[in-house]
Parts: sequence; structure tokens; C-alpha cells
Amino acid sequence: MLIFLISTTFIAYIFIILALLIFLLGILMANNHRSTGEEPKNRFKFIAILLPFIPIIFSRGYIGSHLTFLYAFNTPDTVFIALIFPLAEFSVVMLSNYESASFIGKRSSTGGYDIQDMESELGRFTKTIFLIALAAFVLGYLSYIAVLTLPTFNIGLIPAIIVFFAVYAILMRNTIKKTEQE
Amino acid sequence: MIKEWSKQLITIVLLAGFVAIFALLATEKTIILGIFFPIIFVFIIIYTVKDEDISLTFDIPNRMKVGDEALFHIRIKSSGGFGLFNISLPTFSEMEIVEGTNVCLMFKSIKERSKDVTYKIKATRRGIFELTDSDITYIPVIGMVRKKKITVKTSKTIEVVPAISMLKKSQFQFRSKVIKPRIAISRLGPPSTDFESIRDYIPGDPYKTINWKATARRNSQDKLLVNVYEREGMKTFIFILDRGSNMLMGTTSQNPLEYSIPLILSGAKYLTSKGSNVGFWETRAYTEPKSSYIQPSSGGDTYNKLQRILIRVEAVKGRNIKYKPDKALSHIISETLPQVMFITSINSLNYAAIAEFSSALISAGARLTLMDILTQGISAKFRREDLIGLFQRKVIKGAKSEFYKVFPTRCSIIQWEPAAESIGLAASRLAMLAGW
Repeated sequence: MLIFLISTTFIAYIFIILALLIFLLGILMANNHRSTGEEPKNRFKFIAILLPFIPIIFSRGYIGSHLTFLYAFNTPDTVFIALIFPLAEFSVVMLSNYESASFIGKRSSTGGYDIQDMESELGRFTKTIFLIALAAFVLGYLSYIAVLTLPTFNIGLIPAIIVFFAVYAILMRNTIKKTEQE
Repeated sequence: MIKEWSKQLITIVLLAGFVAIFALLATEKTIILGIFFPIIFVFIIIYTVKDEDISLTFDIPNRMKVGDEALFHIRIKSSGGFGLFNISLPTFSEMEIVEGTNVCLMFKSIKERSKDVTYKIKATRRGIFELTDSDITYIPVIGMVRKKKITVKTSKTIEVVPAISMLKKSQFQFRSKVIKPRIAISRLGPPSTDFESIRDYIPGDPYKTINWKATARRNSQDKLLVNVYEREGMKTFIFILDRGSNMLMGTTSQNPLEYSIPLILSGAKYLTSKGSNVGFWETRAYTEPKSSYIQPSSGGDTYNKLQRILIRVEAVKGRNIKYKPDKALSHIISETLPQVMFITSINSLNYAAIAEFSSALISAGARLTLMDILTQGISAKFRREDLIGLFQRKVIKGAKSEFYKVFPTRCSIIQWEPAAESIGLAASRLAMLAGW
């Protein structure tokens, strides 16, 4: 807890750097994909997502207020960390994509497949997922800008969360429906 | 893959919920930025996935020769689905892929996709083979659905004909040690159109020779009458192929039966080209009602018939081969006095039965040449190449002399070691003794 007493935005910067490093690692590994199947699974990929939450959760909202009130903690301005959430999520998707391609590569390497052809197909697979993730990434930021700039979308947090859960429920319902159809 | 992507997509969807809870705890609207990415990503994937649709177009030959290499060209086309297709393309038993591969992955994105796969196959054994179906496993990117197995029927057969050697008279050594008569040994050739007489029907007589009018006139007996036509004076040769389990020593593509087939076909091709009559019989199992046979005649049609039979012929496992000439064979032998060439592989279990069979053929009037295919060399080939030398004919001949003693003296026995000797050499030995 002591680090939050001395923290200002400096701590937040450290978390951003760490998250960006993991993000870059995800992109690099996905694009330099080699499906030897020997690559270990990156169990720490979710750290990229967890990292920005830590300073935010202790500095803002109910927990932050409680800590400030009780222990007179500083409340550093860590909100801007939230801007890198999509980056962290992007890195998770790309690392997962890389792991999937590697897994298939490993399974297929002993099945008599033409290795070059297999690499090319897995490359297409990785590239397509990358493009979809990139589209989602750009659209995510555009949606956020729309929420900030357009007065219609500039609603409070609680209504925003309610809208989110409504969309979430519809999406999950459709996913399950699609699964059942299959 | 399926488990991987299921986990990942579920994780991404859960992530959105997780971020929302944090946004609520931190009472910070900026955090909802972290909700947009997973929601949009999953939304794009779910709503771009269509039902899978895949079709295959085959460009595969219908016929090839043993040892030939043929190109299998397959076009894979997919207009639906979003994921990986793991495809296993058709082959057949008794072949080997010499170039390329029949398994491949194909990733189908949102756009229509087609892919050409070419591989080269070498046929290792004769036969008519049904091509295997194409097994396709569809692994959707969405991952939440189970992977789906699709089978595309090939519904095609491939005929692998035996590779034969074109034998020439010049390659035979005709200085035979056996004294041969100056005139043709077989006195009778194929029937001409000149009527000779009428006699009772005997099994083996062609149905077209039945004289229905004469049969009807003699209604007191239930026997059929046939017309007998004068025969042309060409030599008659009959090949008899043993189908016992002794012919299976070795592998499915290298055993006495497989070596016998090109030898018979090469001999038949040579003899029919000379205008001789060639017939064919095969030994049959006790359980089989009848065996395939070809009445002696000449011409390309006889060769084609023989080839059709020999593509399908298979040995019978177990010790239930009936070594006894059937009525049709006995009749043909007694009528044409042919040169009979019996292709077999003698061992300690079957030599007595084969000797008895040989005696029966000779008694019926055949001039018999027995070709004993040696299997020791074939076995050694699959163990140690350098051991082939140990199984030379001289060594084996000594070991087999005990078996040969029980054969009738009028039966000429020759040996062939197919692992070390060519078909041409075997044919020349046959030619020498059988008077080709």
C-alpha cells in the first residue's frame, strides 16, 4: 500500500509501460509466427489487462475513496491509464491467436502435411484474426470518441453499464443460438 | 484448436463483463473504453460466420499400370464458413504417394476461397480399387461450436492393370535340353465354322454350340447335344494359376501371386500374338462353386479377358484349395492335348496335393510344365538384402528335391526366384520347356 502513498502519475506510467511491452510482445510473436509447437503458452498474457486496473482500482471509485478517507492516501490521476485497455486486450487476442496457430502447427507437423502450405494457411488465419482485431480496435476508439463528443451518447456511468449489459445479453443469446443451430 | 478458441472467445466475452464491473467499482466512465473492443471483436466474428460449404472437383485417372505414377489433381472450393478446413483427399489401398501430400489445411476467411492440390501416386499392386472418401474437419474460428466432420464421397474406382513385359522370340534361349517333336505338340486349335459332328454336351462346351433342334428331337433323354466344329491346327497353351495361401508368402505387393500375374500376361500376350490358343484356369477353394476360366482361343480378345480376370484374382487363405481339375478343364485337356503351365509355389504342406493334381492333369492328356516360385528370396528381401545370395536356386533346389521326387516323371519342374530373376528369364525357361 505504501507505493500508493508516494504515487502520483509516475506509478501509472510504469503500469502503462509494462502493459505496452506485453502488447508489443503479443503483436511481434503473432506476426513472426513459427508453428513449431514448441512455444510455451503465455500464461501471463492477461497481466497486460490486469496491470492498468491496479492503480485505478486503488485510486478511484469506492475503494479509492475509502482508502483516501481512512488512510489519507494520495489520489493520483490515473484515469488516462484506461486509454490503453484496448491495447492490452488487443495483445491478449493476438497472443491467443498465435498460440492457436502454434497448436495447430504442432498437431499437423506429424500428419504428413506440406509444411510450407500449412505455414501459409496458418499465416492467412493469423492475418485475418489480426485484421478483425484491428477493425474492432479502431471501432472501439471511434465509439468512445462518439460517446464523449456526441451529447446523445454522453450518458452517466450507471446507464452506460445498463446499456452494456443489455448489448451483452443480446450478443450472448445470439452466440448460444448460433451454437445450437450448428 | 477448438478448445483453444472456445476458451479464448469466452475469455474475451467475459473480459467485457469484468471491465464493466471495474468501471462500476471505480465509477470512471473512461474505463468503458475497455468494453468496446471485446464486444465489437466478438460481434464481428459471430456475424460474419456463415454455414460452411465446401466442394471438391476431382481430376483423377481411371486406369493405371502397376509401378506407374499418376497425378491426382483436386480443386477445393469453399463459399461458406469461416475457419480452418482440415482435408484428407482420396487415395486407395496398395499405393504410395511419391510426390506431394493428400492432406492439407485450408483457411477460409469471409471471402470465397479455392485451392488446388496435386499429388503423385504410384500404384504398387494390381486390382480394382475404390478410392477413399475425402474426410474434412471444419474448425470454425468462432470456436464455440464443435468441430464438424464432413465426408465428400469420391464414388470413383481406379483400375490398376499389371505391368507386363513385352517378350520377344529373340530373348528366349531355344536350345532346349528337352527333345521336342517336330510337329505341334497340341494337335488341335480353335474351332472353325466347319461342322464336324454332334455329340452330348460336356461341361466347358460354349453355350453357343448347343444344338437346340437336335436336343428337342431327342426328347427321351434330358441331355443336351452340341455341334462339334473342325478345329484349326494351332498350338494350345493353358495357364493354371494356384490360388493357395502358399502364393501369399511375402507382402501384399510382392508375393508369388503378384509375380505370377505379369508372367502369365506376358506369356499370353506373346503366344496370342503368334496366333496360338491360350486358355486360363485357376484353382478354387472348396467353398467356391466355380472358378474363373477362359477357354483356349487366340486373338486380342482372349488377352483382354485374361487381363480382366487377373486384375481381380486373389489367393485363398487357409488350406482349403481343391487341387483337382474340374470337368471343363479335363474336357478341354482331353480334347486339345495342350501344353499346360501350372504356376505355383511348392512347400512342405502342399507338395503332395500338387503332385496329385499334376498327375491328374497328365492323365487327362496334358503336357505339364510346373513353375515353382521360390519365396525365400522375397522373404530375405524384407530382412537383409545381402541374404538374397544365400537363397540361390541351387541351394533351394537341393532342399526341394525331396518334394519333387513325388511328382510324376512326365511333369517338368522349373524354378523361379522372382526376387533375383527377371520375368524375361522366367518366361524363357517356360518357353524352353513348354515349346512357345
